[in-house]
Amino acid sequence: MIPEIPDGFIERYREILGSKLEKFIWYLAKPQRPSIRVNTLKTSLSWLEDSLKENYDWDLERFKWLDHAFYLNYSVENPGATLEHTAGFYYVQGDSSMIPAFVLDPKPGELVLDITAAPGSKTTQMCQYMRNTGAILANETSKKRAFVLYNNLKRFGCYNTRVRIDDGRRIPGSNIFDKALVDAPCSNESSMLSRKVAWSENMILSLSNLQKGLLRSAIRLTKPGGTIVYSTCTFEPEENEEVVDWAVENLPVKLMPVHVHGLKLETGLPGYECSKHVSRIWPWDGMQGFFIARMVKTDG
Amino acid sequence: MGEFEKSLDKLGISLPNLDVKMTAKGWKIFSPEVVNLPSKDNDSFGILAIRGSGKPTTFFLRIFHNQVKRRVEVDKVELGKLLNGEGVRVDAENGWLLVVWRGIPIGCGLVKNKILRIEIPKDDIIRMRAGYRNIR
Repeated sequence: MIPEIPDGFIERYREILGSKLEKFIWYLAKPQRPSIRVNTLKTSLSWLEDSLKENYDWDLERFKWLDHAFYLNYSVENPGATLEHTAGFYYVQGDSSMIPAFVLDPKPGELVLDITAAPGSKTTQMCQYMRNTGAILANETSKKRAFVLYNNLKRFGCYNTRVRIDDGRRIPGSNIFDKALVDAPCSNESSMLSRKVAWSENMILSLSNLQKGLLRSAIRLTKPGGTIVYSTCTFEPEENEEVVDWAVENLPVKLMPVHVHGLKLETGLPGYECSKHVSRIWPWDGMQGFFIARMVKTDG
Repeated sequence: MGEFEKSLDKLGISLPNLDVKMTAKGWKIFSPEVVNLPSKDNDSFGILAIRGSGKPTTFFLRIFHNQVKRRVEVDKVELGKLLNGEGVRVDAENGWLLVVWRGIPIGCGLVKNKILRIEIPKDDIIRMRAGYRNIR
């Protein structure tokens, strides 16, 4: 049975997907398989695997494309209710949500911007890749969400991070960071049927403007030659390909391909300049829907 | 040797290359590069490591749990008692230490006259109790 779907949504996607619409809705309604990312700052994959099996009888399956993550059985109702989680040995995180930080690939000692950081899944992931060195500016507009972010950073043991409560479009300065992540606020369509997310066409247009503003700010703050990753967990072209096309046309960036070894990523929707270089994950790919673009700042 | 270094020495922790700052709450650790980022009045950074009283924080002990020499391993029954606020008899000297169960750093504990009590944040106690109930 198809759950209640917002007005206008079906018509939009009938136009975009044609005969794939029914398959799209069917997979969208399917629950996501829970997954966790191991905090390699504190423990190892094999130690945690043994501990979770021994203590809770969990059935874990290692990711094929990322060497520090597991899928859990659907039967695990609350993956955060363990001693290991409270000790900061892992983060409960959707599979696709691990791709943007992996693609950005922050290195030890670098300066990194996470312009919309809460609740902290990707910030903690980057901290892990940086071995808690260098520095991350974890920005968040909402004070309440920044509190959650700060607690997750403490739990994970991140001491290379500065939490800033600000509109990401207003962070001062330029050419500061080696890398920047813009995991933009979005219409969250990949979770809309499982989490009953609010949806309207007006909201999409308003989000598109916000996303452009955040991306503009992140590009300004990144050093020439630095990398910027833009991602959303929605399918709307106005929030994805259109934002990237706008950035390439108006800002000093060039697009770079997105490759993740062992993972099949689809290209962008046809009809956009960026289509061949950006990546999409559709619900039928067996993962949470996602959009990812990687850019390099030019000298211009 | 300053108070902070003495506390680290007692615990057996050797810090990597990071900065330490004394704050109103105690000593905070952070990566040196963090201070080079654009700052704002209400922002926050680093992790509180040792309180002014000399008590190591649970979050700090969990980061360096593999290094901590001053530690006590408890069994499941003892862990249940500690999470319920009860004391547990241990063969350890008075002072702060790391409480561990099956290799998991539970958090900071205090031994007084051979009785161990747990001293971890209230929110974490609630989460730990939920985790404890799920142990098979």
